[in-house]
Amino acid sequence: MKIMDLRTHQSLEIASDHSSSINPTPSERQLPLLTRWVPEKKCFQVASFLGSHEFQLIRFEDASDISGASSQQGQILASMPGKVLRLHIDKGATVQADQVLLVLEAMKMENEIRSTCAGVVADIQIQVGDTVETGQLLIKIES
Amino acid sequence: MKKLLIANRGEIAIRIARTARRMNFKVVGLFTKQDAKSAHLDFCDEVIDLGSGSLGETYLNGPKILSEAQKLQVNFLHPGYGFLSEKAEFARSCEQNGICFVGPTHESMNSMGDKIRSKEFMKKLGVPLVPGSDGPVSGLQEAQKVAQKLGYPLLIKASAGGGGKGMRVVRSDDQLSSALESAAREAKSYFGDATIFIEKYIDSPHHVEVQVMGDGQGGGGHVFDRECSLQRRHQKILEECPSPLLQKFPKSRNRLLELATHVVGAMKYRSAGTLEFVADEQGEFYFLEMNTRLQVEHPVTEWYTGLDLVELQLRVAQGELLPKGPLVQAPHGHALEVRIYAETPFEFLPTGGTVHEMNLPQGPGIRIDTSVVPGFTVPLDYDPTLLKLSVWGSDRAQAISRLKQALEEMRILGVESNQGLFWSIVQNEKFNHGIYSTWFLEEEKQDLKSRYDRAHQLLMEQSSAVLLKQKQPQQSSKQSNDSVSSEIQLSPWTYFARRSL
Repeated sequence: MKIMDLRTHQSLEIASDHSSSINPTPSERQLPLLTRWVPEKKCFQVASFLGSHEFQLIRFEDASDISGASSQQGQILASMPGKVLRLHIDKGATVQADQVLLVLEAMKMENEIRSTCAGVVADIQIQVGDTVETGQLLIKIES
Repeated sequence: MKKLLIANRGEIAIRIARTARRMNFKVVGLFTKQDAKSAHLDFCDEVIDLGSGSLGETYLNGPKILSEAQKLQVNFLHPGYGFLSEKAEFARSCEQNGICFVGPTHESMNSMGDKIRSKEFMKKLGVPLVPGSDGPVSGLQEAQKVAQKLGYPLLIKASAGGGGKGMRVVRSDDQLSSALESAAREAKSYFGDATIFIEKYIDSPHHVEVQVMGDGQGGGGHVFDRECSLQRRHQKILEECPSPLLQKFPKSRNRLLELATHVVGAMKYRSAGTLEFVADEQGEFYFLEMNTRLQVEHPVTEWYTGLDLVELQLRVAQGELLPKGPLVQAPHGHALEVRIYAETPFEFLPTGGTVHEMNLPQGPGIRIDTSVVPGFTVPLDYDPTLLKLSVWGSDRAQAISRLKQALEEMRILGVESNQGLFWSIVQNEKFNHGIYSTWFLEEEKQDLKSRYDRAHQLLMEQSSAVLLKQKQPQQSSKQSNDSVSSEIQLSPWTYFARRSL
């Protein structure tokens, strides 16, 4: 069993007895968490003293089954809510990993959204001017 | 009848409305389409619908706000902070239309609104500015004379410059000539003008400021100091009252506070304002600018002095006079404020989303200023503040430990925030020691991040234990074996995790 943070993509293997590799200090002792299941994203939101996070539980035997959209190769998701300012590619274009695909404006700042892999742009689901939500599918890339 | 229009939104609109209602003002609020369900409207007797559109068409639309205000026979207007709060022209048209602007006169706003003019004004009153060459420096000999007068380190700046181009930090005599040459060369190539001047360079700058309150007739004075050195992207995220730096230099502090009172009297300043300074590690301070409004961080001053600054603003607006000099003789303890933003803790990128549930901290010395309620969606067009958490303690150490506990109690579900950054900061050694500059977040990033990452890993472990027991639509009861297994060896971590079920 694995648990993954949907934003940072950090993941952690969970021991079957939930034993921890870290011995918590008194200040790391948690008061109860708030949790919520988000069906659209197949993840849990968890509020702790570190703020709110989105976690996904992944069983090894069917990792592909439970792992949400964001971990799938070739799907470019909005990492923040914002407005599409510019699109740098067209459908059918060949792109390199880390190439800038589009620019999202959020809180008066321009944020470049880059390709996570090399491939061909198979689908563009947004237009310039669209407002997008965190986790929304923007572009599909086929390797 | 006293009727106050609050030309703002969010937590500050609620903050102002609370005091105004207590003082028997009728309160009028504003909203836009995005803010139609905002909590600040619950505090208003009447509301004005600004419709949808850009900021310029809504919250910044002075003429429209004024004409709507007149229809409702508003006679006082509080601008809050941001938006129209420092627009001298707007303040003037309020007065021209018979609406008392709860803030300084438009003349004060005008003279402080321009950085160069405000500095000249302060210099005449004896307020120190960052020492420098007072004009262009040509040639090594002249530069050496300036260096002798100011002492190292020095900053060479291009007259026409900006953005760090043509700037050189010089730390000793033997670096001076080559730095002069290269700065002039760079200035020439970037700006077409090789003119340079020299300023004292402040190695570990601190941001200190003085709250002031005046009655417009020369009465009033300082309301003590604050420190806001903890910044990201040159914006404050944590504020303290009083300044821990100036606590170590009481003579500097007294001089600063007396100067602030002097400025209030000389300007015949009306309402709340803040004089901002850069200070070095020895507590020497130099004027930067004056903010002619209520500040975001005013709650820490209210904690420290026991005053209600909005109440004072409203009393002064009604013509009440203040005694000359400081308004409070014996302030007490120490206060801290953190700004919980909808942004990632270390990259400061906006997160957004909807808040589904909240558990806000309570207890002695804890104050929350917020307009967020469950169901609140972070608006894209406005600032990303979720809430301001401020605490008071009888000394700085108690205030920090209360802040830490409050952060550990606080739960905001659904929107990722910088809460964890503050949880890391309050445990940082340098922060606890009290002497930290505006470089703090850069210098201490590794320490802060490693503490955060460790807690994040623990959180993931704890979460997995909690989440596995919850109903997951697409997962069968298969893994229940995992979670039932060990009630025997309970680490405090899993113990608390279980308790939360």
